[in-house]
Amino acid sequence: METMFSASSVSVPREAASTFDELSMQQSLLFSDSLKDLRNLRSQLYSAAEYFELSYTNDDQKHMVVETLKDYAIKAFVNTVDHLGSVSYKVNGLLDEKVEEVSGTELRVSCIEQRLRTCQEHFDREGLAQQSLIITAPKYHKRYILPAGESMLGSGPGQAIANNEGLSDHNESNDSKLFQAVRSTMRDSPSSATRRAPSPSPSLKSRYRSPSRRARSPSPSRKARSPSPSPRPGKFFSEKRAVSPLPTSNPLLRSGSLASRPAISNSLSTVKRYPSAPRKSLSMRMPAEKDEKKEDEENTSRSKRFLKALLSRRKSQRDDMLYSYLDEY
Amino acid sequence: MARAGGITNAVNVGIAVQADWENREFISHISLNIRRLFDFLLHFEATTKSKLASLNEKLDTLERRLELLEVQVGTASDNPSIFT
Repeated sequence: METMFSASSVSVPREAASTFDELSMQQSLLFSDSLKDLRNLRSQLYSAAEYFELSYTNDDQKHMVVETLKDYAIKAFVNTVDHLGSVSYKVNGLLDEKVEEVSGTELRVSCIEQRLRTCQEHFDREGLAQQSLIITAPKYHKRYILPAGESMLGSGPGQAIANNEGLSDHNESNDSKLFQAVRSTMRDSPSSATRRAPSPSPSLKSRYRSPSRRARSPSPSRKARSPSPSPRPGKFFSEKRAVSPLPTSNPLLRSGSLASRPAISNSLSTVKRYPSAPRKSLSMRMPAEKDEKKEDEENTSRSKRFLKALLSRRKSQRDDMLYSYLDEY
Repeated sequence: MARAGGITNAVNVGIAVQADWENREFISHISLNIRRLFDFLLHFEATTKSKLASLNEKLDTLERRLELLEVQVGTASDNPSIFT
C-alpha cells in the first residue's frame, strides 16, 4: 500500500511534468499552425478575389455572386482577425515569459554579485585585521602616564615597568618616604619667587606640581660628578636612602628658588643655576601673604644650615648621587 | 401601360440604388474594419519591437554581468592563496 502510495506520489510530478511538456508542445504547435494559416490566408484571399472577379464577369447571376462575395469577405475578415488576435496574444505571452525569465536571471545575478561583494568585504576586513595586528603599538615610558604621587623608577624607556616590578618593598618604602618629604617641604617653604609674582589661583598648585618635580636643571654636583653613575636605580635608592644623613625635608632647597640658596651656587660656582619655569610656577602657587615672613626667615635659616651641611659633604659621592636623584625629580 | 412601365423602371432604379448604397455601406464597413485591423497590427508591431528591444538590452546587460562574474570567479579560483 505504501509502495503504491509512494509510487503514485513519485509518478505525480512526472505526470505533471509530462503534461506540462505536452501542453507547451501543443501550444507551440497551435502557434505554428496559426502562423501558417496567416501565411496561407494571403494566397487564399488573392485566389478568392480572382475567382469572384471571373464569376462576376462570366456568370449571369451577378447578384448571387455579390452576395457570396460578401459572405466570403466577412468570414475571411473574421478569420483573419481571429488569427491575428491569437497570434498576437501568443507573441505577447512569449515575450512576457521571456521578460520574466530575464528578470529572474537578473535577480539571481544580483544576488551572486551581492554575495561576491560580501565575500570581498569580508576578505578586506580580515586582511585589515591581520595587518593591524602586525603593527605594534608604541610604548611610552611609565613616568609619563603615572599619576602624581607614584614612584617613577628607571631612567631609560622600557626599564620603568621592569624596574618597578622588580623592586623590593624596602626600596619602594624609601622612595615613597623621599617623595613625601619633598612634597611636604615644597608645600611648607615658599620661595622668593612667591613674593615676586602672586599666584593667580589655587588651582595652579596641582597643575604645576608635577612639572616642577620633573623639571631638570643642570646641577653643579651632577656636572662635576664622575662619569660612572649608578647603573641600577633600585640599587642606588636602597643604598642612598639607607646611608643618607640628610633630613627628609632637605630636598626642598633643591627645588626651591634661586634666591633661597645663593651660598651653594656661589660656592660651587661651576655652573650657574637658572630657575626654570616650573619652579616659578611652583612658587606662584603659594599665596603672597604678609604673615609668612616669619616662616620665610625660619626657612632661610634652615636652608643655610642645610647648605652648610651639604658643603661639608660636597665631595662625597653619595651626595652627588643624591643631587642627581633630586635633579631627576 | 406606359405609366406602369415607367413606375416599374423607377422601382427598379430605386432598388438598384438601394442595393448600391447597401454595397457601399458594406464596403465602408469592411474597409473601416480592415483599417482598424491595420492599426492594431501597427500598434502590435511597435509594442512588440519595444519589448524585444528592452529584452535585448536586458540580455546584453546580463551577459556582461555574467562575463564579469565569470572573470572574477576564474581569478579567485586561479589564486587559491586568497582564501587562505
